[in-house]
Amino acid sequence: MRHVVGVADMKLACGKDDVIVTHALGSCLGIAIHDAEAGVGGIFHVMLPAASVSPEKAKTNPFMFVDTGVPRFFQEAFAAGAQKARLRVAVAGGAALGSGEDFFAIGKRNYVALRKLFWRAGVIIAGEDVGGNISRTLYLEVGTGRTWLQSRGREWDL
Amino acid sequence: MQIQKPMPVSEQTLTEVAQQVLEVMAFAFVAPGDRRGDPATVCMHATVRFSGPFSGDVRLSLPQAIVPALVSNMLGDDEGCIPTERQQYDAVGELASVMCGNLVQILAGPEPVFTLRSPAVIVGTAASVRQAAASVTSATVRLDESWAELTLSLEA
Amino acid sequence: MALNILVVDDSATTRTMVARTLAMGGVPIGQVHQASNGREGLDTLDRERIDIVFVDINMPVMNGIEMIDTLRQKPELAAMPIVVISTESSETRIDEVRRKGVEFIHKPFTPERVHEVMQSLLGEFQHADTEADARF
Repeated sequence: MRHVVGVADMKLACGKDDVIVTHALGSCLGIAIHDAEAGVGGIFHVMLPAASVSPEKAKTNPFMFVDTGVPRFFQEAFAAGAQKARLRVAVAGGAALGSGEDFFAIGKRNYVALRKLFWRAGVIIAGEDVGGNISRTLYLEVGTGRTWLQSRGREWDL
Repeated sequence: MQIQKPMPVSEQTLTEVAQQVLEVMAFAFVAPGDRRGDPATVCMHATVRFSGPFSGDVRLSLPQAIVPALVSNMLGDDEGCIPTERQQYDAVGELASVMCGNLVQILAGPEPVFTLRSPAVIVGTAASVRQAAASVTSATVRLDESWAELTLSLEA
Repeated sequence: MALNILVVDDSATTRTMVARTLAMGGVPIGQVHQASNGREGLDTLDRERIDIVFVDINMPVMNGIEMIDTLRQKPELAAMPIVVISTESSETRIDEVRRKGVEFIHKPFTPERVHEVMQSLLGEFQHADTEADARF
């Protein structure tokens, strides 16, 4: 079954034939996690670095922000049987798509915020493809853990 | 030893070095800045002296108010933990050392060998540090809601 | 079996960052000993059973290169796996270090880079079966 993850959303799956996908990662980050032993995988598509810009929105949807969404995403994966020490974590997106100077540099801010969180929580990134100025689509095949990207007609593993 | 002249240093080079080191080590979002901090701001200044084909020093100045959060990031402590004064001095010194090591090699090219001294860290206003060296280049970067300044002084 | 590590760096911050990085890499880590210069590092090696040494280059009292040279002269330590973590960017210096059979990590370093070097030193290792960090 194919699961599509929208913006500021996450999905976990545990079926061998499940494929999770999130489209059009620009400055947003896509985070894919997979525990081969538990057979659990998930993708989280996050928009902004910090909930402090809008605590109200963070209450309604913590998945808008890196600092509130990432811990929730991991906790839900643990509740589904995944274990932190076994997780393979991959990250994509964080691009600067705006024409001219990307004044707010949201993509980079997202990435720095994520790295800070991972450093505090002790998470290693096994594969990443971030920055640049391309829009990326991120896939995860839950049965195998294969994680890959598509952009501009090209496809490559992460 | 043959005396070698460094490549001319631009503010952009200083900015890029400060940016890379602060982002990777302290997880701070850094952007090119266009404003100097208020000269009355109390700062931590870490100076690292280097010697090799040419000599000088690199100084990192950070407003003291942002140092605890940066250092807590580096140590991976929980948000809100206040690092000890000793940890703050050590961490700011280490940031300056890493910036210095990276910067001198950009200026000298890949081959020459430099020796870096241990950092000297002091607290004082932004205006309190003055340069006596022959050549000084400085860059200010925006760092989250604050700023940082990196200064390279080369001896004649 | 858990690995005992020695981290030699004059910055306590870097020693903490290296120790933290090792703890997150999935390698079973036993004791992490710390020393602030090459001389102290050698003293620790005389006293403790160490499996891997992480060492900086620019340090007061005794720098990392002198420490490695002294260590390599001791038959019981000649094969010790060593990783230099340094801000050193001179290719001349880095080649000199590598010729001593030492891995090199450039500062600023990411945990991923340390993890990669540990993997090349130890081969594909099993994930540590220890309780994971409680955060998250």
